[in-house]
Amino acid sequence: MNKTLYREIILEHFRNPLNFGEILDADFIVDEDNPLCGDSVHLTGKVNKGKLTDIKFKGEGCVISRAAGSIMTEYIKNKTIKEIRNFNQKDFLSLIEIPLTVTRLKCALLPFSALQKALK
Amino acid sequence: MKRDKFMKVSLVKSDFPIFDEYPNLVYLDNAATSQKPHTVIDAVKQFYVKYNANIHRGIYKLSENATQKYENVRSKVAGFIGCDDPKEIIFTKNTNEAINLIVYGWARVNLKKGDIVVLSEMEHHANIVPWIRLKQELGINLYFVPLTSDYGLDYKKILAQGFDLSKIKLVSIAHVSNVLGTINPVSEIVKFLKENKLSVKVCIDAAQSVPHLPIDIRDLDCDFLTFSAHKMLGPSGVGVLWARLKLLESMEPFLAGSHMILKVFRDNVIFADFPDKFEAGTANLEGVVGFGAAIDYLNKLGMQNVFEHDQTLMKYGLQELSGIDGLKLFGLKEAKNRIAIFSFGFEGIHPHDIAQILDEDNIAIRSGHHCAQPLMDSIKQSATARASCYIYNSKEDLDKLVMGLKKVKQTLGI
Ligand SMILES: Cc1ncc(COP(=O)(O)O)c(C=O)c1O
Repeated sequence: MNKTLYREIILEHFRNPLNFGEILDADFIVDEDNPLCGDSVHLTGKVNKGKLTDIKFKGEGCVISRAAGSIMTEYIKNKTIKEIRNFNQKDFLSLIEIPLTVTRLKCALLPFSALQKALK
Repeated sequence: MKRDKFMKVSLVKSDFPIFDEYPNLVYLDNAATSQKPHTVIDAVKQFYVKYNANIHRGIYKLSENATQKYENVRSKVAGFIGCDDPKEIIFTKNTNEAINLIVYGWARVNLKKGDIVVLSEMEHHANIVPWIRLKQELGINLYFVPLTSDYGLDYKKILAQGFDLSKIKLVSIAHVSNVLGTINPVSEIVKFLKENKLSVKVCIDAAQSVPHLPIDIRDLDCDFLTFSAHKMLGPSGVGVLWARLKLLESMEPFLAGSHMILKVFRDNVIFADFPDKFEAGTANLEGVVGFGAAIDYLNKLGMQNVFEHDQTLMKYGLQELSGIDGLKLFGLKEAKNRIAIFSFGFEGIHPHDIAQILDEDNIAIRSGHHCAQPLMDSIKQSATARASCYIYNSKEDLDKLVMGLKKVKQTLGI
């Protein structure tokens, strides 16, 4: 069975997520949800001279989607928009390193889908 | 409850090969579907080995035998719910199709714009979505009976809505809620409707009650009843609509085509008499035969014993779950008028994580909206975790669930 899903590092991101909250004077705001389980993510960010200078996320979700939000936002913060555009689903999944079943993949991808929406 | 009244779970369990395959499996997702005993699996196999032929109109022996096997089950199903006339039993694919048959075969023909169909806030999508489509098509209105504070139905409220009561044509509600476990007082509701001179038809979604309670349509006094074989030890792909003869006479088919006809001309058709009229095409023959074996199995246990077993687990489960700090139960806390379906959650924890951590110890429960989104809205949850029992579950299974839930709390630090 999936012994490794709730590794300590993932749980730490769940309990104390990085970049959790909302930027009030954000340059972009996106919302994304997963109707299957009612998870939702609210992503806000600031962009300056082609660079993502700040990003925050919040929302209701499971351990997986919250930890994924925490890890992803920390990774892309201070990167250029160009770099972030090159950051694909595969990179994202290898970054979060969670062994996922098909159903849980959707949870993990929630913050990533929100990011894709923001990039549009 | 006394020990001797309790079914010998260990004996029952050994009839279910899935537990030989997975000896550590704690299966608590019975509201979604039940496991199957040997006898059902064998009946399906035996049908292919000994009886396989298409039914009806076959002149040869094999086909006649297959037809007889299939029709025998119709009588068995009738007997199982206290119905005297097997003609009133229509085989469908599942509860969803049975309800659609009522919606398209009866309601679409008999209702008109402005008529009201009463549903409830605790319905499964199967008993909501077809009605929404009919509303969009015909302009009927839907009223959802709200929940009482203890997760029952506040059905007397329908009198105080200010709508013209003569417009109510049908009340369609679940006998047992697949999320809350509440047993709704069907015969009391029917009596209430009659006392208030409401001449309405009553449809009961019995998908969660027929597997667990002794059911007699004469006591329920309803007009339509629907359920699925797969939740009561039978194969998937078989469901039942029971309806009063008089109603069946006034119903249009939902699916049209072969087998449901008496005579076909180039520009006209005469339908067969029911039940055939409502069973177009080749049915799930082996599934129906397997369903017959499931009913035999339940009859052998005795539905009263099945119910008492459920009630023992229900009482035990309530007691044990209420001992877990921080666990919020969505359902009657009192150990009556409910079955052993437990919906719950912990503040700040997503039910998917509960289910996933339990799965690490082979405890299978469900998490999500359980096809009851309007109910989730009423109880202000986006999802819940749900454990549901059946005949092969024991108190030990519930002990493992409780231990698992303690582990969930520990893992997630609450
Ligand atoms: C109360 C209720 N109604 C209807 C259904 C639908 O059953 P089926 O999927 O067999 O059509 C279910 C099962 O999920 C149920 O619990």
